[in-house]
Amino acid sequence: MYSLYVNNQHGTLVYQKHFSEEIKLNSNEEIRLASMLHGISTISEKINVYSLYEKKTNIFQSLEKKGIETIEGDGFKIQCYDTLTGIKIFIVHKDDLNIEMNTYLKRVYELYSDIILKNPFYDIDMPIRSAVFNEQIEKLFSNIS
Amino acid sequence: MILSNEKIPQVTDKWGDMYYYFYIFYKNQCIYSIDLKNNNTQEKKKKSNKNETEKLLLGSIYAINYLCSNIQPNKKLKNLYKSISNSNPKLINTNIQTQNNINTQENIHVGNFNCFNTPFYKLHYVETLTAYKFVLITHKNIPNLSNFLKDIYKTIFIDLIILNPVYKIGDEIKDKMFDEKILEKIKRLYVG
Repeated sequence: MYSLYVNNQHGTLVYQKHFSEEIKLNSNEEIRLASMLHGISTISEKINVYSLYEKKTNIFQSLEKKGIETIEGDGFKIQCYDTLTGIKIFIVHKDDLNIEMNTYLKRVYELYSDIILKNPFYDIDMPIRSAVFNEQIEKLFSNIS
Repeated sequence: MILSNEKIPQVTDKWGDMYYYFYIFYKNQCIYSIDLKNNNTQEKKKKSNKNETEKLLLGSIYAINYLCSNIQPNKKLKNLYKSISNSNPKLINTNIQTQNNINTQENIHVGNFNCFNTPFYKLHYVETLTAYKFVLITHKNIPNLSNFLKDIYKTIFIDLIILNPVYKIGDEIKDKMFDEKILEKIKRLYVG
């Protein structure tokens, strides 16, 4: 387990947490990389690839997420979760984990809804400084090496 | 309530529904592209739109390479030279041939990612030390095909393009034999 990032709907990094001491990024680099993933995810929707879903009729079709879900490399994997409200939660971990990471990402979104959005002093789209949220995230990922 | 979007579309019997595009990039331009679903007639009509798509694709590949090299601690090029520096200095002369052979086989791919998934497709990627980029866009449920792209580079590409004395490095590939070999190999991949 390397890092957890949360982007807001505009692509700005609002939360990041590193679980490994091997990560040597400063805060500006983290913001740039997280914004880069937002841009890459948007571009990947527009690569002209045939879609088997074209005939699908759904009133929520505009909310359907088409960006990057997974990026795999040698020794690492990036798993993304796009919520319907535009929040993007993604995690960087070693590729030898066989855990269904989407479950954890949805759990992070659940914690985000409960702890951050219910905080009356939190401004939407601002960086998250909550100690309770930090605590819950550490507890959630403490079982994963 | 979160919408359930996990329904997998029915996979038809046609092999063209599993493999969409194949591209070869050299440095900053696309030198080969083939549409695995359409006929060649439709390909010419969309030529201007096709160039934009290729540039967009190459740009996104560059960005993902940069992202993946910085967001995780493993460095690709360090691993390349690490295997050489680990060897004993006294044995460098005797092992240099073996070492080069190991590097040639294991380190063809110097890109920082192998593939990425979207709900609609999966992009497989291999980049060589000589700045050739092989991209295959497939159905999202296809497993990782990096080894397949390495095989294309080692066999079809080197034999028919690099060793071709008529071909200029960097020019667009217009070789019918190459087309046939690529299509044949991808079809065999589907059958196998």
